[in-house]
Amino acid sequence: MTESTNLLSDREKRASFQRLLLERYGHSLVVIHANYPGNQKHTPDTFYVVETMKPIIRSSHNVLYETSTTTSEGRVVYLILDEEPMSLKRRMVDLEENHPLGRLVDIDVLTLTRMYHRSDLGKGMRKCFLCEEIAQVCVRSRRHPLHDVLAFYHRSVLTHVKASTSEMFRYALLAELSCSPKFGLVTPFTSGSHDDMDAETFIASIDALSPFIEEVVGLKTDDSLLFSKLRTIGRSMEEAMFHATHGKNTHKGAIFLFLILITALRINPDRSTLKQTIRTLTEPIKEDFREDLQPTTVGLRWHRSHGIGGIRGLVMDGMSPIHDDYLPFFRVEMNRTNDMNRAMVKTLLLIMSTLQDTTVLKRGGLDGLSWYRKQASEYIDQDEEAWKTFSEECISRKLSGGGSADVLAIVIYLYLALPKEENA
Amino acid sequence: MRIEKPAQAGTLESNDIYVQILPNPREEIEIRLKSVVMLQFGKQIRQVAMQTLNEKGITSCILNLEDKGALDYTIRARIESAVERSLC
Repeated sequence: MTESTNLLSDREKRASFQRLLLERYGHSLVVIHANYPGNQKHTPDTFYVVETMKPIIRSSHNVLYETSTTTSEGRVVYLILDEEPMSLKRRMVDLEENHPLGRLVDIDVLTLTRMYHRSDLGKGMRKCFLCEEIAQVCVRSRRHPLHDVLAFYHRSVLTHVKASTSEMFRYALLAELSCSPKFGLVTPFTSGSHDDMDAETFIASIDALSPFIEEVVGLKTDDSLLFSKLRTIGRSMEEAMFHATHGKNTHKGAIFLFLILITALRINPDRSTLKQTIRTLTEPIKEDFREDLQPTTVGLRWHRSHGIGGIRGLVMDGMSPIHDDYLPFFRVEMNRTNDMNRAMVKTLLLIMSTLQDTTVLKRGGLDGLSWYRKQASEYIDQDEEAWKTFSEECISRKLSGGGSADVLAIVIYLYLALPKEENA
Repeated sequence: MRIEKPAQAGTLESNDIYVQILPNPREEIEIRLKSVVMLQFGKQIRQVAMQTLNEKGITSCILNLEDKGALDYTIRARIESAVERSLC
């Protein structure tokens, strides 16, 4: 099937799914999906936008049932609410018009008998992103080049994201999750090598972790107890994660890396000295490697037995490969194609091929890791079909580079945090 | 070829079109169009619809179209699948 017939059939399937939900649950149905042009609407931006609007609606209404899908239409969230549809539509239009990301989504309100429209509220049709014309007229006449509309969307998302550290944190983790295919890791389309979690588990975790970022950016950077305070917040975040995921480790590595990176950038945002800032900040980690202590984590055990530094080794070295290799590689790929999913997949393969990922070691041992790394390096320059084949192999071997995924999220965060001109 | 069995395709989503195809007692094609962009594109949408039916060899039917700003290729694809669903 071509991309356009995919989209048309996904849209028809959604319409019948909506009917099914209303027949089963009654009440009012709210459907959140991206207001995004083109035939492939699943992108990191649309994924982030829909997942940002969802908790806003969920928190202020009584949700009776909730589910979501990801198709060529992108992320679609369905909420059954016990509320009168007209007042609900009014509140949804208000969100569409007044939330900074409101223009970038469609929030439909339906009952079994009908769909509610802006015109029911006496409102005109939605305007085009780029001019004062009605959106449908511009779409129909292809007035603006697709590329301009996509650029507007991306700019709008990034302007919102970059205004706060916690949104950058959310964007980086959601973008990493949205990325596909992903070699045994969880994506919105597959649980990969994990039979105990899926994309919903990761989203629940991200929603639980984000509020802590406020605390992290509230710490005084000249506090002599800074690192131990970070550790305390980190432990609370792990608890919140395990609570939200019913005991699954979705982001333990990511929490560790993000708390250190975010704090290092606050101590000194200068890119040229960032590695050193991270090294100084993470001095206390050396204690974890003391020979007279019993190693408490997988990473520490592998360090003891094989001298593999794991994630601690990475930060004690100032996250060097991230600055020297992964981030520059990601930037080149982004500039070349502007296809963020592809840039993320390729960067992930580069990370997988060079990182000593202890999550792979844990499941596959040294042989598994050496296979994973070698394969990753061979697949970097191949196409999506080949990547899918490699993903299936990883799933059949039950391997999954969780540590590499955490590092990819860090690369995306740095891509947002560091101004472009410094990366020429 | 006459349409004997009613069928439908498409949705009422933005940038889509909802198509219903029905038998017509007369040997002719009747197109009933509602569109959010009627003023600007009504004529063009009718043209695309008629052309698609001609290509499919349809000589008699009633075609109800409720357009929400669909592009030509969407209109074409939706009518084609309504015809195919009616014929199978």
